[in-house]
Amino acid sequence: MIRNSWDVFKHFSDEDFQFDASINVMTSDEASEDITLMVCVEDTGTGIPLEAQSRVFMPFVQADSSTSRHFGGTGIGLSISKCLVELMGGQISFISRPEVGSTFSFTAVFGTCKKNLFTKMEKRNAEDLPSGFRGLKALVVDGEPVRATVTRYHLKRLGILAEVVSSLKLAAGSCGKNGSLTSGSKIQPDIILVEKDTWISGEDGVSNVWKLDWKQNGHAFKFPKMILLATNITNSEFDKAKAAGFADTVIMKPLRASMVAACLFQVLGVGKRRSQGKGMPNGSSFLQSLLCGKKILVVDDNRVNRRVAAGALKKFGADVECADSALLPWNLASAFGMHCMMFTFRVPFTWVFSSRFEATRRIRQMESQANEQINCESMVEEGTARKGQWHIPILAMTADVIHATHEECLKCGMDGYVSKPFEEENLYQAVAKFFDSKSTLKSK
Amino acid sequence: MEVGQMQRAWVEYTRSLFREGFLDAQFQQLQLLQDESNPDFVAEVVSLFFEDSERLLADLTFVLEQQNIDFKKVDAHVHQFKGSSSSIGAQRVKNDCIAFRNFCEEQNIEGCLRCLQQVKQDYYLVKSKLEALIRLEQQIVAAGGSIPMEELSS
Repeated sequence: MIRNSWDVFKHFSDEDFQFDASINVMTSDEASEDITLMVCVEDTGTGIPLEAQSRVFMPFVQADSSTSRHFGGTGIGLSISKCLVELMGGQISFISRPEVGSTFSFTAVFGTCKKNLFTKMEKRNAEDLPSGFRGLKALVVDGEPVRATVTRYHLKRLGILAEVVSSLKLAAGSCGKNGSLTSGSKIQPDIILVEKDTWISGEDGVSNVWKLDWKQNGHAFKFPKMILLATNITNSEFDKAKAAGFADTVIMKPLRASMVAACLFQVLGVGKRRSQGKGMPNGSSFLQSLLCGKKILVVDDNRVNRRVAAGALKKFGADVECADSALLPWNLASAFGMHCMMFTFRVPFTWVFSSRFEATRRIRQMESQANEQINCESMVEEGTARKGQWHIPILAMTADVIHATHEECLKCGMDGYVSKPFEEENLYQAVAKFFDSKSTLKSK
Repeated sequence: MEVGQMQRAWVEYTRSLFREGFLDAQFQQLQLLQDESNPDFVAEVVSLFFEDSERLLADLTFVLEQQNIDFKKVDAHVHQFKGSSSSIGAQRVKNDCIAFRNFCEEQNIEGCLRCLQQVKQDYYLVKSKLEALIRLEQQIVAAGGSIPMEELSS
């Protein structure tokens, strides 16, 4: 974990970024070869109210009762951080001003290690990210430079070149009423990512006007897709966004490279019918990298469907087993060793509910029994996020992709759903969550 | 017929099947899944579909002949049929099943019987067309040629 953070900080201290995180070596004890590092992180968030400041390190305390409603979370982050820092021989503190932001600092004591150890260190998982976006150009519209830097970082990890402007108006100006003839650091972006706050606080209808402007230019450059970035979004905001011309996929924050890739993949599109222009991602290679070597159990009561689903998944290198749902109880045992299960059942709905529920319930039951055992052993898991915790991703395959189905899935203990017949984009989005390269074993 | 001619015939025939709505994009997906490691994928899936469908149609006919029709059973069978036809891209059959299920919900006997006729008709049509297509593919391969899938995406 420390190593990852170090890598992250190293990225941030690239010349490209002016991120406000600094690392200082405070003391170096020659004799014991210990070094105390101090790390400061500064943000421009809402800050912590003065009266709450004395309590924030306590577990389950948030600034006030509205924090969870607005920002989510359970209020244990800081208390965990404090514990970790103290375990590392350091101390944590902060300065915060409401409406301005906070600066958190902590110290930690590290040993030094021999120089030649670093040559053996593996390069971070940059290769595990989809490479199909390399060379893509993005324009990020964000009024907050620190936040924009983080966005740029995530895009950079995917090989995407990003420029930042602070408002939509500036974006319209820089992107070229004059096309690529304008000088300076003007780019012709393939995609425009807009922070929701920046869009909302800008003038109403700006984006509509802008779209018009692009079209009137006459010559055929393709209008770049616009995607919103947001930590949260209401239905009405979403509708407004769609009406203003934004793509109907919102990239949710905090950003994760794999989810950004999935959204870009969906918006930019892929498939035999669309032209594979320069910089367009090759869809199958994404799914390939995610599914290769993964064991998936497909459960359906129709063998044509089983065969087709298996064929599609095998194409991406998955190791597929099929089971008839009628025989399900006997196959539950084979669920272990599986990275993922895909269920489908017949409607009527009530029958579906009780079967899906029953099957999923029994799997989760077995999982919790196994977890109790695993916590004692140092067994390494498959398909789980943390050591000692089984959780097989279970996805529903359904032809009726309606809102109610999604909620029913979640109620049954399923993790999501995939539309049937499979479409690459949907499949990718659904599995990307579980098969992120960080959280799984390297495949054989 | 030499290979080139057969390939052209294949392309034309496949295109017409799509144009006339017998098959949809899902069938194309199946064709794309076929490759050297899986050379008979389409033929396999299609023959599974035929077997399945014959059984479903027989069951449906039986249930609808009864004095007291069990609409739940009818619906269950039609749903299965809809699922499998959708999985292979048999568009007309799938659409017939959708209409069929509406009549089931309404417990409309007349409507159901009409739908059964319609779905049988469309099934047998697509069956003969798929059989012809697969025969043509087998001839092309036997003559040493390959199936020109890429021609379809233009």
